[in-house]
Amino acid sequence: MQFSEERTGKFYVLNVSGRLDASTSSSFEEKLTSIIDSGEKNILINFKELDYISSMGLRVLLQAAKKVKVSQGSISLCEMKDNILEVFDIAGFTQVFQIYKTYNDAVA
Amino acid sequence: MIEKKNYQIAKISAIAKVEFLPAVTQFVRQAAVAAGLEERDAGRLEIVVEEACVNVIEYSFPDNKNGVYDVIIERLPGKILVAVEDNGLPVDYTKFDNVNDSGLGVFLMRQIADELNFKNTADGGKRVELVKNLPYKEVQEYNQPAAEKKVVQETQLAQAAEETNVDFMLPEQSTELARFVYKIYGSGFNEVSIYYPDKRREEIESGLLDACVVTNSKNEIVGHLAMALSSVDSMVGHSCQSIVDPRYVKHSLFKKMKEFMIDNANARGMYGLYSEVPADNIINQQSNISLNTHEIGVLIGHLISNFSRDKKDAEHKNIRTSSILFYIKINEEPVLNVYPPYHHKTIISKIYNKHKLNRTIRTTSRTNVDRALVDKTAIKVKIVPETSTAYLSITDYGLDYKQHIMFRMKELVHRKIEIIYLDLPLNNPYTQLLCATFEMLGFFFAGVIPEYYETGDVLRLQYLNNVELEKKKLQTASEFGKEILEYVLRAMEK
Repeated sequence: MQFSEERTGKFYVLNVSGRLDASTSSSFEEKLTSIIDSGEKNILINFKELDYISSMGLRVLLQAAKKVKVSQGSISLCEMKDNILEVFDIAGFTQVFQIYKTYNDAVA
Repeated sequence: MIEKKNYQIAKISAIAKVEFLPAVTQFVRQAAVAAGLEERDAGRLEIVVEEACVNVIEYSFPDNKNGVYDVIIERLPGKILVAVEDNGLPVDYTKFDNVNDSGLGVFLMRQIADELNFKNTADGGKRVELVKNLPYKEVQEYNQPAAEKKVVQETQLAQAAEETNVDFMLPEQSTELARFVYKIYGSGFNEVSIYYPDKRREEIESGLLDACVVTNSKNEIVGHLAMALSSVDSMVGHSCQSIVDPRYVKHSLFKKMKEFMIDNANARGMYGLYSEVPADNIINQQSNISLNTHEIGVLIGHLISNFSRDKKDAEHKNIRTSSILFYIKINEEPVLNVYPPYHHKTIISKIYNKHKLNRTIRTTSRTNVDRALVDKTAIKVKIVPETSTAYLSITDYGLDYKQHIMFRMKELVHRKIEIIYLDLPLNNPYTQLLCATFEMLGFFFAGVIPEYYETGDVLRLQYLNNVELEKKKLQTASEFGKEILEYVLRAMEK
């Protein structure tokens, strides 16, 4: 799994690629925690290059969402592939996160 | 003798460390695709396999850096089964007890897998089975004119003299059978596998299902009866999926088919056949009794009378109707020792006597239950979501017997499963002592199914979760049936 970061308007954007599974979730967690700890409140995670997510990945996202909520912030998601969106749907996570279809929709 | 099929495609033994997990799950995904699963379903399967393996890594081997678990992939009739087995620490099921973020993995497993079974194996290990169904076409999707549900008028009754013929169903008749069922029941037949011709074909070819069909003078299917087996060398079969074309109600087709199936079971050297007959179908009950088949129990709310496989709206509420359990003894079986609970001994003895079964009723001398039990209860869980029914089959009692069943009930009630059956092994002395504990949890007597387990008979208990029963009065076709029905109804009231 690989990351790249950028700042665009109101969002701090984290681009994630590869697989978010049991073996990669801890590095994803470290990355997200360091962003939140640096004081970023509005985080947009771009899943355009993400191929797979399991509950370990969902768990990290949920923890991060709870953490950022304390400082009145939020985590938004965009560019999810159908199989990824389906897992969010099944887990009821589409209610928890602001989800944009495209990156442009998110930053508009 | 039917040759046992080898269903296993692959078995991987992996060290219980997360860094090797993606290799395991991706292997499963690719093997599943090669075995016929669609990419999309294989992706879902990969997610649930990961969940099952993570549970093993986190809970079974928390401190053991050298723990090893196995992942087994099997191609069964109509489905892909992935089993994750380990011999690590016993699992604490309460960990999976709620749907917060820590229970998320198991929640996803339940949502995504078509079937999910947790088993404690006899050697002290654990096995989680995940099943994805293969993508079979339903009969309506086949490139033929759509079958239409018809209402048969009195004037359409077939001529009494018309000849009909009973014979084994051939795998290639599966599509015709599905169309026949659709014609009679629309999409309302409770056992849905019959609507999937390829699945049915595989069931027959696997040796786990024998079926017979009746054909009329035009060689059309006008009747069907199946015998399902839990394994190819089962000694007792489940006579099921009885369907008769209403135009032929006066041709005694059910009786002919049942006789055919009894002969078939006899030729296979089997001990007997059991079946469930709708409590409102007196004619069918009478036909069974005329063949020396007798009652062994009553399953309250066993069938859904307004069943439909079509999408249901949120307002839909199942209305359920009951079945009478029947059994026919076909061949002499070896004498078995049984340990019926004291308070059900009389009725169970009557059932044994009625069927002339070779049983010796024993009384256990054990009193201190907890001291002698193994750690974990060996149990198999099967859930049939279409009919909102679950089967809990205990094969051995462990110290956690009560806690384990309470956990299961909570989980099943949460999933809005309406009917829960609990099968207890009658050859196990603890059944005599522990049955009452389960009844205190809300289960009540359903009946006895002879030779249901490889080790012998089961005592079946039943639990109704928020069930709406049809208002019709339950009927039985014999005095013995009436006695069992009254017994079950009294047990339900308690």
